[in-house]
Amino acid sequence: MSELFDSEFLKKLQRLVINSRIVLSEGMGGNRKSRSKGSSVEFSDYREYAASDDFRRVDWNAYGRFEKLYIKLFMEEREAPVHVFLDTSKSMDWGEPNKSVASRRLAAVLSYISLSNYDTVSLTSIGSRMEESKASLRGKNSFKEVLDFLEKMEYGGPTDLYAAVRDSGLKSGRGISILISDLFSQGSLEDAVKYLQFRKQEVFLCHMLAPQEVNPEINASLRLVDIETGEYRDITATSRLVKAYKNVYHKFIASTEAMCRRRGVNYIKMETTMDLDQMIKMVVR
Amino acid sequence: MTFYSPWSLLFLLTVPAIIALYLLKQRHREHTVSSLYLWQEVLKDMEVRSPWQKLKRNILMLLQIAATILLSLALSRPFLDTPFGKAGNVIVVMDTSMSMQASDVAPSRLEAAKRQAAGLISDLPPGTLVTLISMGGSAVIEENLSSDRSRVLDRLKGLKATYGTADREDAASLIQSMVKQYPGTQVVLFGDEALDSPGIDVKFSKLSGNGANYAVTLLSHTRSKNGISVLSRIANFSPAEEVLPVSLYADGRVFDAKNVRVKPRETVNVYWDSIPENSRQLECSIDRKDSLDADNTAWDAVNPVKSARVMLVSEKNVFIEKAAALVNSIQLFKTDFPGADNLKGYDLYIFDGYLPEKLPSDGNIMIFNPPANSLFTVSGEVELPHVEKSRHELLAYVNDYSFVVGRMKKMAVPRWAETVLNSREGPVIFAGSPDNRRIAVFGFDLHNTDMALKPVFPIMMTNFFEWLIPSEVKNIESLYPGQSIDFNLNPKAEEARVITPGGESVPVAPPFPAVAFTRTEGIGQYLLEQKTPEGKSYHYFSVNAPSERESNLASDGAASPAGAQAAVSAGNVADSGFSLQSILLCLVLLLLLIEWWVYSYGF
Repeated sequence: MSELFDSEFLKKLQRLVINSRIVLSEGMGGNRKSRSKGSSVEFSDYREYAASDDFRRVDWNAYGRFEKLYIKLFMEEREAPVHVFLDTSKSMDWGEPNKSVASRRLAAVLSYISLSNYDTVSLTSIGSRMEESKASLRGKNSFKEVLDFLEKMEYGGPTDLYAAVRDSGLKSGRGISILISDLFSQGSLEDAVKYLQFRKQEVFLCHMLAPQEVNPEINASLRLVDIETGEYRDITATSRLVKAYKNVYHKFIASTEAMCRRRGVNYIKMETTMDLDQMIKMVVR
Repeated sequence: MTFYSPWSLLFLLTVPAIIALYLLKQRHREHTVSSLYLWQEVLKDMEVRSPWQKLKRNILMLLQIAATILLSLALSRPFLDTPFGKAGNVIVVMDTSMSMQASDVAPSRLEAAKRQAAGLISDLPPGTLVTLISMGGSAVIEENLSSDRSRVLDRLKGLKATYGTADREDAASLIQSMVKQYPGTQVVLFGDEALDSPGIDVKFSKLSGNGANYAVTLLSHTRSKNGISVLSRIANFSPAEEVLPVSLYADGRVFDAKNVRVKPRETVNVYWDSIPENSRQLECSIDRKDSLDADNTAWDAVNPVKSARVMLVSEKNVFIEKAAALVNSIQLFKTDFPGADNLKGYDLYIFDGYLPEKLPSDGNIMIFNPPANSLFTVSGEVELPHVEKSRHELLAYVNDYSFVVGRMKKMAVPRWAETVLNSREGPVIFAGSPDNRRIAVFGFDLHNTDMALKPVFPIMMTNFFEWLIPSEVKNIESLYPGQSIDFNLNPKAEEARVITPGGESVPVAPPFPAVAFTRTEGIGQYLLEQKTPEGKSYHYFSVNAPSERESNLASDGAASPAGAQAAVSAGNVADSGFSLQSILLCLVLLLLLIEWWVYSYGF
């Protein structure tokens, strides 16, 4: 078992999926119902009522006949393709706790939830362009492939979100796109979002940040070196400088949020210190 | 404000150097960040172009410059002008008496005093002339009007507590004469007792911890049938009643030990009997640790009584016979003039109205009514000379000069002698020491004066016998450290030396006559060794701690002279002059702490 996805993580995964079943059908699922109206009420199967099931879906006719509670299952929500775009630029392999670990774990959980709900899952690693992808995985059995893909992922180089998304070969058709990135990118985020929405995607933007990016730990005279480009800037740390950084940071977050709101994108700001449960709840809320 | 070492201000030149170093490209520690995306935005706002602007906000540099300036100032030893600053002259008097050895002020009173004095001297403004006086058995000027601070401090460091009593009058008169010479001189005394110096403001830094102390204040002996009896006095200067273990040693061996109960501030007589007759050295000590060790032991010397053989050459003189009978240790022999030639083997010859052609080769000589002789000039007689009062030590305690001398010989005082009693008509009595022998000459016949009928006569004769009969050591009962002592050496002695308690051998003679022995600074048993053709003779004498004056460590008990200065605390003295150096150094330290804080936590 790898360090990235240890037993602790897998246990957590199980629990998360059980908890998120309702959330999915009420949250994400709600958005996908309109994909095919005709078939949305198509009966699929019966199942015995279990605790935590929505009692509105109990088939009272069946109850009248057998004096047992049955739930009607429907087919309509199980076909949505989920695309997970994972930023693999060098800047993502940074921070304490590391952004690459948190983002891959998040991608794994989201994939698992989707696979459990019979959705097809595509994983794409994006750098300056589309790097690598795993397309149309289906069923829980494919989860092993997801883990393999994530584990072997390599981080390096800069990011160009738009170029990468454009090159991903996304087929037209309704689906969910989850973008996990620190957004320190060259290409325009808005262009990438526009492209995804043009491809009829419901876009989730998971903005992954390390705590050191929120509150920089700097003192004295420093040469700040960009991990991606090797560029540097000399600074002398003063409280004024730190204050200015925080101002710029807040502006950056605010402008991203505003763009997302404008374009109807679900923007979720995350810090690597957050618990996985917390991150998931923020996504599927 | 005055700078003691202004050249240190040259260190201020390092300030521009610091600025220059900051102006040069600073060395930046590398710090990797995920992206410069945000930082570029930040720096775009804050971009500074001029290097001076860069410096303006550099608090570390400002702190360093401030620290450098303060450090340079501290090195230049700035001094605030104070009353002392204008004094010009300061006399520092150090009490080095025995009580300053007391350990009730750690590490000892003297060491504490030296520390305080060193602090005061270091803080004096430059150019102040410091005179250092040590007040032990006598007042000694250790350093006179010196502006060399380190020399004075060295001298101060070298001061040692003596076993003596502080000679306050000597010190006071010395100070008075110095202050008279340089008016405005400040005087500071470091000691345990104030100094009475009328008209002079003596600042007194008192060092006293009121420590508990016990002392053997007296040790003396008498001979009796059962051997030697000893009296010792044990004093308790502490505020509590004590049972003190006291031991008596005879010739270095324990003779007896007693537990003596002494009430606070009282003295107890302790008697010791039946000490072997042949004991020569006695030592009594209290075996209890206290604040002052020096006075816990007292010594006494027992020297064999030797009766002196005195030959009286006289036709008949009952006065001399009676006077000689008063002195216990005299064995008197008599002879008339015809038997007076070729006498030998006596300690003292008394020639009454006669002198043999050849004087005896040994012994001292007393001559009454001298005939013409070769030793000194005698020329005729004087009637009723007008006797003048004399302060000569051989006439000590002689106060009544109402006696009349009817007739006396007219004499010339030889070179080897000095006049003891004079008259307008010439010398009446003279005495001196030609060739290591003592001779006293009385110019009159005792039958021609009423002196022999007056009380002054036995007094005078006892004085002369004491001087003429060698008892080797005078005043042995009351010898204190620092006192000088005259030896009446054996006329036959070829060489004499004193062995001190420390084992040091100090030659006393030759040359003869022996000068006064002054090396009595240590306490304990001293041994006078005389080498004569017959062999060596030994005489012990002891020097004891001056416990009456110095053992009472309680400050209230110390007899302060009337009109003494109110006690001035050391703080008051030190307040009068201090340098700013320590304050500046504290500030530098504070700045360094701030700098460390700024460096660690940013600004």
